[in-house]
Amino acid sequence: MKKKTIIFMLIMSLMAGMLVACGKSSDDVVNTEAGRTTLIVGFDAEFKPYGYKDENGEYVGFDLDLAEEVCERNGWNLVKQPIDWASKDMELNSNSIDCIWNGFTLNGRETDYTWTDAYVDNSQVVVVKSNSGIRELTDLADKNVIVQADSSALAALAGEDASEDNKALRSTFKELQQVGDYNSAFMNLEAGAADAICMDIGVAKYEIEARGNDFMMLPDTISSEEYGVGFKLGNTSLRDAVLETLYEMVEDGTYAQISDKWDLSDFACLGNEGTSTAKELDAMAATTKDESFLEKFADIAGQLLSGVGASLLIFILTLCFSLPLGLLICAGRRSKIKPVAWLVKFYISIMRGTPLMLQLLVVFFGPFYVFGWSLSTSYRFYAVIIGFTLNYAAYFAEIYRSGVEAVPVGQHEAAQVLGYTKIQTFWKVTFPQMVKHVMPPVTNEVITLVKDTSLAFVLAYTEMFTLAKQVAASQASIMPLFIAGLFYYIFNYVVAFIMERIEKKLAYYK
Amino acid sequence: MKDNEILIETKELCKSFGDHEVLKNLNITVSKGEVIAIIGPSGCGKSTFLRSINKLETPTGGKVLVDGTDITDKSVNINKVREKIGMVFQQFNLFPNMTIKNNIMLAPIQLKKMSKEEASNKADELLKRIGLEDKAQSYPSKLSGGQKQRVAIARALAMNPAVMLFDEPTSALDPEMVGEVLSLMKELALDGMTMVVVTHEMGFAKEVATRVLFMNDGEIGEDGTPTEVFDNPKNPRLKEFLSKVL
Repeated sequence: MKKKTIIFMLIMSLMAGMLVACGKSSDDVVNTEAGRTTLIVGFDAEFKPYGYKDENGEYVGFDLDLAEEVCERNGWNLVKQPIDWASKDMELNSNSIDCIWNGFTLNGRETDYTWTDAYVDNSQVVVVKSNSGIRELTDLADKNVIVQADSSALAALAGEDASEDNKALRSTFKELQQVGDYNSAFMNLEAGAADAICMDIGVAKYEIEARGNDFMMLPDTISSEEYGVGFKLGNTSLRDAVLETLYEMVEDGTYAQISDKWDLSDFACLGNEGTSTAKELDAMAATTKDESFLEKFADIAGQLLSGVGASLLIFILTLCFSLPLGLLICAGRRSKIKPVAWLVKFYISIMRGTPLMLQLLVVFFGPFYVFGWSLSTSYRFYAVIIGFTLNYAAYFAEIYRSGVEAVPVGQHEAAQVLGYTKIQTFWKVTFPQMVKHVMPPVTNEVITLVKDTSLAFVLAYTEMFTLAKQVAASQASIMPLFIAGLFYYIFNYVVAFIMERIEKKLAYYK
Repeated sequence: MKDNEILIETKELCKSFGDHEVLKNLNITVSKGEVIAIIGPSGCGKSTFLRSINKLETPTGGKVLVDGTDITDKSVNINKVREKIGMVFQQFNLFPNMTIKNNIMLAPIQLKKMSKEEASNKADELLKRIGLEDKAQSYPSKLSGGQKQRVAIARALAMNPAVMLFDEPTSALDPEMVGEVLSLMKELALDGMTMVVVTHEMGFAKEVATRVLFMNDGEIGEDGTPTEVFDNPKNPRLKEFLSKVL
């Protein structure tokens, strides 16, 4: 026990060390662009029309066209790197990408990146179902509104710098939900799990055109915002090179031509008066003061703590339901009635053979797409628990089966000849021995479950890891993810400790 | 006690595993007080016969009457019949998750044959009889093979069976432990317990059995007193068998 405590302390201090290292922003930025041969552009591949995958499987979009042109003029190779939006800061800080060029809102992020001048002036609009009866912003009272996690719409409505008007508007909503991408936002809207989506106007126009007349935009916009190309903080040399080329393109009309091609002429604003410039933004970045490491750590940990409860709830409810359900499924799998055994075997093969993330989506959206039932908001949480329970029960069933089959046949015979019924034999003889056999693999599954709770984000259920990603995005720091890791580790340390105690308790016989 | 009261009777008992006929039309009766030793070469069907008596194997033909009840009849509650038949296995099959005492007393309580107190007293009495009172609260893994088999016998006796079946009870034991188990079985026989014993212990068969059955290839090759079977064998296969084992 003592030895373990020491190891635990060592790991903790190691992780703390890593956090300190992550807290400091490294300044190993390349300062000359002379030797550059490639430009790696990071973008969210589902952000139409700025950057997305078209019918031919090619990455295309307004931003990518601009980037292509800039690269051509500088003799660079353009690398289009689709990224997970929540990990954009890590991608940038680790130099895996050179810039984020993807309808990237600079408002509220002024001090987190090195920016070009604003090149698109965008606004946030509200998209609703055409037949919903919602016609203006006041109609949104008591409605469920959905936004993309870490999007400008979220920042505009609920961010630190949100305007008073927007905050007042947000307070009339029943709920403000976050989803990972616009496709699931539209699925939620279509299925009735949300009443409105708040999103960028350019994207909204494009999506409505692609999806037909079932959806419409409200005439009132929510806030005005600007897009810029974001570089790692301090990487002014590359920024300057890109910006210079962009202005060349404005001069010779290429910029207007590309804007036209994507139907964005109304929004293209590079060089317009009154828009943010790189110079102003650099000045803002220079005046930010550093928070101490401990302050930051405590602040983030505090924010994540509210998500720990949600993760814990998923964990406990899933175990409460799936452990006994696994027993029932195990009985079905071993049933002498062939069709029952086949059906259960098929169920298990589906549960083990497809991603849990997909199963969660099916459980949540299935009732709408299959039966046309409209979904209530509270079903979101039930769907998470049902999805996790069905999946884990299948794994537990197979573990139980191995445990039951490891009990020698002589045990059953001995119970039989003593006159035990099948049920008595199971509970008095088979079950206690099975439990002992299955403890190590069950512990494995339970530990996996702790980490799997993070998958609840696909149903926009905000558990700890989703929260960590959101905080990481809003603070442009990867520290929240490490703190989340720390939470998971502590959680699992406790789980492993408890399971070990149970195993020891069961060691009274061999 | 009437010596001729029939406890077990098989009529035309047959058992096949697929195409392989293991038991061929066996007609055997076991009367109260008899100690029957079944001997014969490996694979001749001795154990299958024994296991057919309490339906651990389901006969493919014929009848098995236990105390007048035909257990091949599907409407018969086999668990009720099994209460009358104690069985001891080669591999002991004690329940590792229970203490020695619970191994012995749980079945009578579960099947509501005795109150908890009665069962506990009975278990103490049996443990004393087999000389393992001090092991009452131990778990089976702490016992030697010979001790385990004695507990298994006590567990079967706790149900107050009318007949005891032994399926090669000493075959899994180290040689120095065979004696303790055989002497317990001998005591039982002397107390008048009806016993059917599948065994390779010819000394035990000769000394303790009242009747010896020689099985060969699913049939009864010879059936007689120990003196008849061992000293004056008639069946040529029995002669061959005895020449190998004696």
